[in-house]
Amino acid sequence: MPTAQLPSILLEGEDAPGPLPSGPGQRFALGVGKTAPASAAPPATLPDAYGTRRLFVAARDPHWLYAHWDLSEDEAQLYRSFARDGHLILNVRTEAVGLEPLQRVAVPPVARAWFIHVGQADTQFVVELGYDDAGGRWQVVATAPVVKTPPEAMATAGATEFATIPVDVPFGTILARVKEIVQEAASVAPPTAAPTAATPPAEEPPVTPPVGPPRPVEFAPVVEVIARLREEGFRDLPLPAEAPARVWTPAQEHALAAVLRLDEARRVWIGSQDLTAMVQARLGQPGVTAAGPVSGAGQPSPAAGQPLGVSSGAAPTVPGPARDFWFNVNAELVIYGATEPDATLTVGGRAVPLRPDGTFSLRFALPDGEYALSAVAVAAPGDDRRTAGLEFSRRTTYQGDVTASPADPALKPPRVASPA
Amino acid sequence: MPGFVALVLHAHLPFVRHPEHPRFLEESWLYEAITETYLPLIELLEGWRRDRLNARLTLSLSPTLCSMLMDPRLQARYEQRLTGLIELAEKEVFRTHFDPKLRPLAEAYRERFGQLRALWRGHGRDLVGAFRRLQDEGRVELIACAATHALLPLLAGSPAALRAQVLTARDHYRACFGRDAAGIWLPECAYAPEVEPVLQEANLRWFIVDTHGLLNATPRPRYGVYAPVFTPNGLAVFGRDPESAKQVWSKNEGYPGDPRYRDFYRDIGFDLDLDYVRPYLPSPDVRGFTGIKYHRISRTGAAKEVYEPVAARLAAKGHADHFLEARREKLRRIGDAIELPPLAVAPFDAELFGHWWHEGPVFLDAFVRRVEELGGELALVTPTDYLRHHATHQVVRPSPSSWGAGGHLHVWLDEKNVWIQPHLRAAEQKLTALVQRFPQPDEFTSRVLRQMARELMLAQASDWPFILHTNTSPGYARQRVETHITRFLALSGQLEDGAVDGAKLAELEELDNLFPHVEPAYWA
Repeated sequence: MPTAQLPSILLEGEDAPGPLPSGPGQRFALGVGKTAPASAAPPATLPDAYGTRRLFVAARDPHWLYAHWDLSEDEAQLYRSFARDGHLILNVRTEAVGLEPLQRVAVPPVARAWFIHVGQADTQFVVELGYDDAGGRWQVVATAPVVKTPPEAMATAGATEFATIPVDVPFGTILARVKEIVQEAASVAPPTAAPTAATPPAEEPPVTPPVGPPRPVEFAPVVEVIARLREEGFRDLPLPAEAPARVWTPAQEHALAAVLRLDEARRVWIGSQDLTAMVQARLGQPGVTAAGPVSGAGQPSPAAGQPLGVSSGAAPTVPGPARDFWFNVNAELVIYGATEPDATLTVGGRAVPLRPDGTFSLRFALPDGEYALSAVAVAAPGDDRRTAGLEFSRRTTYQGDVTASPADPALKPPRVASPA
Repeated sequence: MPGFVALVLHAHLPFVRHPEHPRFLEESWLYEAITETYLPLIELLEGWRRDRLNARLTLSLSPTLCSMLMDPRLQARYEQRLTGLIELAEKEVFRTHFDPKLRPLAEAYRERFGQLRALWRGHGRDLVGAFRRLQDEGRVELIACAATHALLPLLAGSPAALRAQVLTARDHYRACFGRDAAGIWLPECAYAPEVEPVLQEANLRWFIVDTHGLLNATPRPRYGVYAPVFTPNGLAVFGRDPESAKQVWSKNEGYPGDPRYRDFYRDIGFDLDLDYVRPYLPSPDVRGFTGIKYHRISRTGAAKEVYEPVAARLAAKGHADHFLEARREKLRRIGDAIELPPLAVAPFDAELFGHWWHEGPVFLDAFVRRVEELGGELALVTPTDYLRHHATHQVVRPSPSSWGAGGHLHVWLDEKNVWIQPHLRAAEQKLTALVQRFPQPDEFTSRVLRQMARELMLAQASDWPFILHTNTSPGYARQRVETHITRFLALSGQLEDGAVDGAKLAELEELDNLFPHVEPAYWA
């Protein structure tokens, strides 16, 4: 749904300059000024849809799925016209198609993407896009490949299997042998009983590539294959190292448990974008404001009624307490002059490079105080010498809160008005 | 039993090359990182070589970064920028004449920038070549990364695009470093099982996941993150040591926030008269970082304290000692309980060291030298070194995970950046369809397909949604996605219509010129 656009002029000058960040840097920092928030809407120059009719689903985290679908507006409208309730539905199932859906999300006509709260870690989901037809029958428009939410806790300690895989024996060598084994197995056993190069690892969800021909090299369960190669006395593999003891003593378990606390690991799920927030927290600066309830791609919140939990990002600058008025002033000193281009010049005892035409210009910071500086020019042959003794004094009095620097980062350079 | 530490640094920047502008703000990401991280890293490695330290370091240099480092135009622009910086430092030496606190800092900057220019010129502007030689000498192990730093789990449904990201990176690595990589840095440490087939195909033998990616594996790994595991497909997986990460990143204990360290944000580009700094700003008329900073980290509102390099160096050495003692103590405790030498894997963004954390290189140097002094109780290894010596490991299935905030895909799939994904998926499908339609393309069609591949991969970079999430330069990130998708669609439409604009194609080849030999067949 298009959002109302306020004329930008109405927003100018509303924000007081925020506190300047301090600390180590962060990736992609360009400065300390304010950055306009990004628009959540796609650029208008890009197509709204491509009409590929695909449904893409990804497990964003243990509790949320992200889905988008690509129907042209005509297609979407057609399906909605077939629908009993006039809208498309995302159907979320936890098992094979045919079981009762876990969730049915009626998506509004403008939506092309959705965040779905499933609340179940380590679970496989099938998501379909479709509609209930006039007879109330479920009609599928698109089905996404199965996705699995990641686990959010440690697994139980299962059977412990070890493998020896020498890093310097190329997978190609191993995989070439796989093919031979597969062919041998296929010649002596029913196809379904033989391990095939396309066999996914045990308990993994079958992943069906939606497009494209078979890849040249498919999933190969190398661990299993290597074990078989060894049994067959395949010579290019070194002898297996002695595997660690199968029995894991309670004392070992206890000793290691003390250093493997997942809670501890969770607290360090922070990356470079959090450096500024880290320093702000330490220095007691105003923190990052967490994002409020939001919805994906400008859509209303999901039917589940829960606001999307979106992680808070650490922007380089954040709105801080308002400052009504401020003033920074400083003074510097410019010493400039000229002499013969081949002369030697020193100012304050330091050699000064001359421009090709013999001119020079130097800038000096001038804090409050008394200063003396001598400028000495010596002619190239060394037979003539001129000296200037310069003395300066600066005294500054302030009334009110006046600082020397920095300039406010939000300031823009003055523009010279072009003649009409 | 001795313990091992693997320091793994991931150096990456998105492809930021804008020949169409004489000075371009975002190119400064590259120039700042060369000055503050990449050249200092080479300096460190060469120092360790000179002092015969057995300091093994693992470094990933992303393909986009290598492409920029090898680009003659960007090399020339960097040298111009560095020369400008030296000129500014010379002016600063005069400007701070009456300020006894700032003047030594200005002099130090002038000297430092001069050293860096000598190092830069000494390597003939070729930093990729410098790292290649350091690898050939056994000083560093360089690992691969995805071609344009795409978040690979999001490509699980586009296997051809996933394959192309990895195989293009493999080819590029060979071209840069003259050999094959043993390991790969998964962008953002983002792992899903679907990435494994192509890693296997490319003979990439190991990667790193964040702590929970390993601790939440099935079955539970017996040794936690202190030993690698194998996936059922034979790929070795290393888990990030949580304490190494915490000591650098923690809100309470993190080293880089120490108030003795130099403040990143307080730069004379923001402080001084605009007319004075204008010639040295990354972009004319926009205040930005020059690289000269005189203050240390301090509270907002408080008067900024002037930076004291001696105190900062001492702080960095103290933090290195602390880091070392913590590793030593932890690995000793673990070593008592397990049957093989424990390994702590400490991965970081390379740019942390020097660029974001000015004293980071001092910290690294002090840490490496202290490890050497211990004489064998602790040793630095690369993950490949470790696998060579210990080839037997538990077989588990790691958990999908990333090292971004939240530990999963929150950063790259949020309400500000999800609009990117549908365009990428459609473009991936389109490129596959066109590559299949032209199985034996003529040279001109090949050029079109190669440029489409470049535009698509540039749009796939994880950096754009990251920037939109963190709001550091959102307008630019948005424009980059829009630009590359638009260029892709234009080429795609023209190819389908048989009416490709050759002049426009040549222009795009010059603008987005990375991966000159990219292989469109990977998308088939």
